[in-house]
Amino acid sequence: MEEQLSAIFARFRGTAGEVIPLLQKTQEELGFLPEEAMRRIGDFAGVPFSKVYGVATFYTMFRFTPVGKYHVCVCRGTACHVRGADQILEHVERELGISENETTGDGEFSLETVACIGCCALAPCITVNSDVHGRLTSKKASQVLKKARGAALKEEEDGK
Amino acid sequence: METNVEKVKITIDGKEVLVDPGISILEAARQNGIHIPTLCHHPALSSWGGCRICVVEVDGSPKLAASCVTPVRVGVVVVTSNERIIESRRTILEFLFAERNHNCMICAQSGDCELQKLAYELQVDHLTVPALFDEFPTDITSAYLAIDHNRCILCGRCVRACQEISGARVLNFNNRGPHNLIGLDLSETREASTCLNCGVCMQVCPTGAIYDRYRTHYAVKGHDTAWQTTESLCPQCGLMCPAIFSVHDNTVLKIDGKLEADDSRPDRGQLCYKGRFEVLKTIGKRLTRPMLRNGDGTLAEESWEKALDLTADRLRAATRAKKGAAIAGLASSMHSNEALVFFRDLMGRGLGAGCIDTLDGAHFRIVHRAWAGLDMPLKEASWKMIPEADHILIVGADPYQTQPIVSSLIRRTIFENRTKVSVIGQQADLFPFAAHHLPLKEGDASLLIKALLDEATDCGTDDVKMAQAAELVRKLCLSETDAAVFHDIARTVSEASNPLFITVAGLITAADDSGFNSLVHLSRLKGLLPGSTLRLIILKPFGNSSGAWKLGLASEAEPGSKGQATACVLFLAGEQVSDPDLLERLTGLDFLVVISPYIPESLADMADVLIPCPLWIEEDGTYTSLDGTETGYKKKVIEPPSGVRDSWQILSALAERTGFRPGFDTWNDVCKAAQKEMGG
Repeated sequence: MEEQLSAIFARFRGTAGEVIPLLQKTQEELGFLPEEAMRRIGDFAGVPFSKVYGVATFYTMFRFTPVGKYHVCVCRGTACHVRGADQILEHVERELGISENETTGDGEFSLETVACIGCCALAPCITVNSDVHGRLTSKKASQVLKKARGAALKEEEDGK
Repeated sequence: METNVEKVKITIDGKEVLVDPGISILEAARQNGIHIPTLCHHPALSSWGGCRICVVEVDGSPKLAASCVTPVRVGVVVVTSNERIIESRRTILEFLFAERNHNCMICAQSGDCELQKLAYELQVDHLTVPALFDEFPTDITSAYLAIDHNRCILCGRCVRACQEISGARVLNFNNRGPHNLIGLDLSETREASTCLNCGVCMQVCPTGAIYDRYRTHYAVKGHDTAWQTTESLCPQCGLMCPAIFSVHDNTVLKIDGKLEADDSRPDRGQLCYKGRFEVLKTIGKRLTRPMLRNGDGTLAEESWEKALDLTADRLRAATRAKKGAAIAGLASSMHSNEALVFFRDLMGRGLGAGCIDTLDGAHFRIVHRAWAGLDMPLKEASWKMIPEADHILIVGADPYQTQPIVSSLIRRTIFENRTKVSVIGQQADLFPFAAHHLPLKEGDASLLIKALLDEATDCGTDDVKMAQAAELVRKLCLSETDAAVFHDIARTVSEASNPLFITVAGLITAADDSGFNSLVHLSRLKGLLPGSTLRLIILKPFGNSSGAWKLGLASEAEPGSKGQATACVLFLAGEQVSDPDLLERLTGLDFLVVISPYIPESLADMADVLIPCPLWIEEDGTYTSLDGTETGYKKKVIEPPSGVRDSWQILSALAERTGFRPGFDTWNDVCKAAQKEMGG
């Protein structure tokens, strides 16, 4: 982490106004915001820890626990809501055995809800990492997750 | 005071008034005796406009404006109260009550709560919205302060106070919406966080969300209307912070800082963990009647007359038996100037004591010797100069332990004035944004300061001296990073045009002189401040050290240099004696009398007579500031326990019995004598 942070800091001047971009870059690099990274950002930008944490917790884009290899976002925007996003969420939760904002024990999947991913025509939809899956039903959602899990298993086997 | 600024004419509630331009509508209304209720607003803090309780109608606009953040304009017409405004305020209040658990009967703050008062004022007798609250956490990890988030209304006063007044910047809002909570650092518990327990957040908290763990619940002690308040000062460390004591039933319920204090104090009227909490701590069993050692070696209560007679007889006998050095008088520098003057005269002129000293005499002697070596008489700098400095070097001192408000000012000046702060030595308050941190090993202090002196004063100009400094640095065996920090500190000191040095006498050990001398020399070389003042703040161990030193209580000669005393009078002010050197000095005496508010536990086997005296809070008296230039009057706040006599009564009784005429017949005479000596 030390090296990654140093590389990020090298691109900034260390002013209070850079806290949000610093948090964003750090999350991009590390996948989430560990406590130590937030302390380092505070020291670097000359901003009290309480302020760094206040900013980080205000925005929903920042995460404080590691995301899974497959990060699932269930859209709860207006269009998806009307088309049954609640059932999709419930189904995904049951399928993965985790609740919103949690990560599976094996670190493969993490689940989050978002307000709108801009694919209202495809409602209801979810994203797995950067792939959008639309016009979902419970069945289709299971297939999407199964496919991801299959890919994960295959990778593991290939690795062996 | 007349100003040339043209006043602005505005209309509030149909009344035409002239006010200063630029002030808020709220201020204008308050100056003219018109009441506008507020919640997130606090006169000592910046305005935020968050709670919307102070809304008013401006120029008949359909949108109500928060009066605390709306500045006055020429000709503006303000209505502070009508049906619409009251309804709006009441709705907000209902939402606040519906959002969290505000159950007044079981709240520690009931009776002294602004939310509760406002609910009465606006006649909120029921909620028209459903109560939606969840259970929020409570943090009671700190020994001083507790946070109950269930009582929090998120007014943000604590966040602003932590930033603007204390400078700790530990508190901030976490999360948002209904999950919004006041958090410490990275959402840590009070104890694990960098909170300094100054309690300013508690003082400004309008509800019972932040409360103190020391005091009795107000609910048990009646509402605030039944309390008496006394304005006095805190004599704990020499900064003489104004303090407001709330008293009921001869018990101090709480001590508040005078947050609206005038601009003469850069600390903005705050109190620290010592002045707000620790002074209320009892450190032993109170002594309420004199005690004498019996034939069987135990201490037993005795009448005042008998105890005073015996003490006077034994002291006189000791003087007769051994001329000159027979008696030693030792006083705590926590006593007022009056008590110290009387004690000094009684011991010196009255009993011919060979040694009169204070518990911090060793510190005094180091400062005294350093001062004797100066080319002209100089004064110490005042702590009030901290915000003006462009570089602050703290060596060996730990302001958070001794003078916590000094550490608060340093924290604030780092943020507000971008002042560079260099810390050499260990600190309880780490000053997270200090420019330099350099550890200091116990034996290295003198060498390190000497090296700093050489390098900072001759940087780049004198090759021979630079080589000498380099040699000294080599001797210190600093690690590569520490050496770099050292050179950077030296460079900052040499470049600073208005530096301040903060230290303690004796740096780390009381016997270490030369480091202190080098620092005095270094500050002398950086030029004087106006009024022959050295750029040096010396943090002293007791609240009235400066007064005691100025009155000549601390002896210039090492104690015992005039021969070993056989009898000693120890005049304590509420401390327990734990210093092994002092205990050593007190063993083997023929006669030891201890005048103390508490039973001195460590001396229970040695003392022959114990005489009770009041605590600082139970007596009047003047105190001298840290730099020795100001005097403050500390008022009596509560009565001493029954049976305890005033210090001056005890001392005059002893004077009378030993046949000494001190020249003061009344308490007023002592005050005048002390005032005269302090140059007031």
